[in-house]
Amino acid sequence: MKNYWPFATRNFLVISLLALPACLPAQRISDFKVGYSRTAIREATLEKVGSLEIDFYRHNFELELGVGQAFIGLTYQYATKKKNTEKIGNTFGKTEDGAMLTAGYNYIFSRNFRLDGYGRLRIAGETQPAQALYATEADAHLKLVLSDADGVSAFFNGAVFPSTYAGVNVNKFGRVQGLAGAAIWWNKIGLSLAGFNAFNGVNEALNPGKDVDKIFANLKNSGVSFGLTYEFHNFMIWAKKNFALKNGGNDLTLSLQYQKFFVKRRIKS
Amino acid sequence: MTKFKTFSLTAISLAIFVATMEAQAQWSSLKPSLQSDVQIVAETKKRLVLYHQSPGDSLIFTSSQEHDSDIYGAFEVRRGGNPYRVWVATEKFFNNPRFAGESGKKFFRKSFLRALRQDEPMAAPAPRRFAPTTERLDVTSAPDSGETQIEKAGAKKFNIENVKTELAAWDSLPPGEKKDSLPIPLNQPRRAEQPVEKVFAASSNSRDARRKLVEVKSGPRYGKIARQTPPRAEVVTSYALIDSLYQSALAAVKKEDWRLAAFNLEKIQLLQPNYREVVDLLAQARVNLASAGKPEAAAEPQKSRGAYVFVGGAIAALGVFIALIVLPFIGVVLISPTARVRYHILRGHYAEAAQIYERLLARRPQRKKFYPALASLYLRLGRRDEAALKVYEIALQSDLADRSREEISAIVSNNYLTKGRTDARAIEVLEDALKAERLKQRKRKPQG
Repeated sequence: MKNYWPFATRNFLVISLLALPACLPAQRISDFKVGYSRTAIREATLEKVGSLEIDFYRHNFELELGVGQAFIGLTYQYATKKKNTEKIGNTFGKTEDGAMLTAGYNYIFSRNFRLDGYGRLRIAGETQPAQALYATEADAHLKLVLSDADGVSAFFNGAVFPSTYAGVNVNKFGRVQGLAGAAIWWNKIGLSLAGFNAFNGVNEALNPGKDVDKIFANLKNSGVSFGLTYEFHNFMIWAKKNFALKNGGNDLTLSLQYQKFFVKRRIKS
Repeated sequence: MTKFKTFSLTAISLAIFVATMEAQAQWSSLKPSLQSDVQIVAETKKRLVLYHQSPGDSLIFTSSQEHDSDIYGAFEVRRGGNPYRVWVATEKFFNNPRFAGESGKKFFRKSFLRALRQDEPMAAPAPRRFAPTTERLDVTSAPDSGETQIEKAGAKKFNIENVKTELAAWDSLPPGEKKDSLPIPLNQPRRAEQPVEKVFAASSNSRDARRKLVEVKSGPRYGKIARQTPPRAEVVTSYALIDSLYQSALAAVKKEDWRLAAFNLEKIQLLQPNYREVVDLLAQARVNLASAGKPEAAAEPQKSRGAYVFVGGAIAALGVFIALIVLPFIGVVLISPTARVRYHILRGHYAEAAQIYERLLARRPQRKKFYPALASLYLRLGRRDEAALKVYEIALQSDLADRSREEISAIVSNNYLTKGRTDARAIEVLEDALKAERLKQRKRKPQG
């Protein structure tokens, strides 16, 4: 059995030791975040194929260091499938891992609008984009978020905080996804509803044409997702259920995050 | 159909959000934190006035920082999150024994006091002039036209228009009723130290302001004013004069004629101590009078501070750029085997470069693309051992640069000949080597 851990661990340590602290003096670090999430993909929907029972699992370990409204981080992703099963999905992919550098910036226009941009860059990983268990990505995300700092008091005694966003994702293969969503936050509990739709890419996985070498990284997918978050102290538990509409997985993600802010920036109202 | 549902849900969510945007909830988050015996005497979109019988004073919340705020609203932003409102207590609040410390619990629950932010210390500015007079006066002289005002019983908004209207009504009363129905609570309790603190809060780091305020505080008039409560009848008789002086002082403040303003306000203080905003305005006029004499000196520290801020900002921007772009790039280069191999080749360390490929192939022998590169390195190192020959053989099956292919083909064919191999693969390699040799000879002929 191949052991991928030394390779991944080395990447993680090299980047953590060389790239991050060297360029970020402690005084500039305003927060740090660590997180773990596990995604279970038990069913996939493919155009002209229908639903397939599969057994894919993804484990993500994330580290982010914040400098004001910007951050730089590293994500290690470990993807696997259940062994000894005869399900169709198991003919795709294999146990793989990879690491991605992440960076982003959150621009606050006003108390109502912010622009959130971040990108991921695959720095290590063996999985081929033609495999269903494609583990790493190189992409860029941009979204404009509309919210209100005071919230609204329409339904509850305390304020509730609705927000909505629209954005776009582009991956390194040029697949463009549009996304839109709305969320509501009340008393440490958040609920969200989001939808995404790819405008280009491989329409039919069984008929990829010239994109045979990157089918699953470039799948023309679309779906809706429902999210639930709960915050306590500096922790956040997060659950997200994704439903594929055209192509993609019907997956459930569970996540635990810890984020500690050393500096809170205040803006005048 | 599902698409339609998705977009409908999103559109409905957006519509609800936009429709409820106007239902501002800044006070909603605050009200649950108030103690049950705290009264809300005035509530507008921008202002919330609280009253507690035991401290016997009112507390002013404003949605943004204003000159008379005890606690004001600000927004905090965190990376990756939406801005949210926080409440910031001014020095005025913290220095007041009626509000701060344990007394604060009379107004608020503990959780609110814990979440209360302290006013940020003001960055060493020069003794600045006060905010534009019109802006400051708007608070008292003009009602907020756009806001929905919810005035509760007992609350009264004092502004110039109200005063004029009430005075006219009062003048029309029969003489007997006038005494008991004063239009304005001229002697309403007002803390004498409040204006001093206001000015201090406005320019806490200004030496001039501090000196002036010490003068105001220690001056005989200040103490006297703070304790004076003249008889009502005297005040009533001089009310018209006071009002005219007050109007004149306000006009002078508007024109920033601080000398005239101070003069008129001093007069009012003599006639009616603690009249409306006079103490405050007087302190303001005095500070501005003091700072008006040396504007250049005042501007200098700000300028140098601005330069520092610029340099600091530039360094921070450079730091962020390095953090986000340069160092990750260097990190990627450092961990990329191809980049490391190139580095070793550039320095002529072929053995080290070959070792990197050897390690990679030991871990993943199926990666065929490394074999040609490793074969080229072995060629440069002049290796002919068994391990190298295996690599050469595999490399020959891949794409190779012509020159390398010829040399490797020659090495491998010589090896086959030495060993006497006659299998299909060996014959193929020998044929290749022969072809290459013929080509070489043809090229040499014209030259010879």
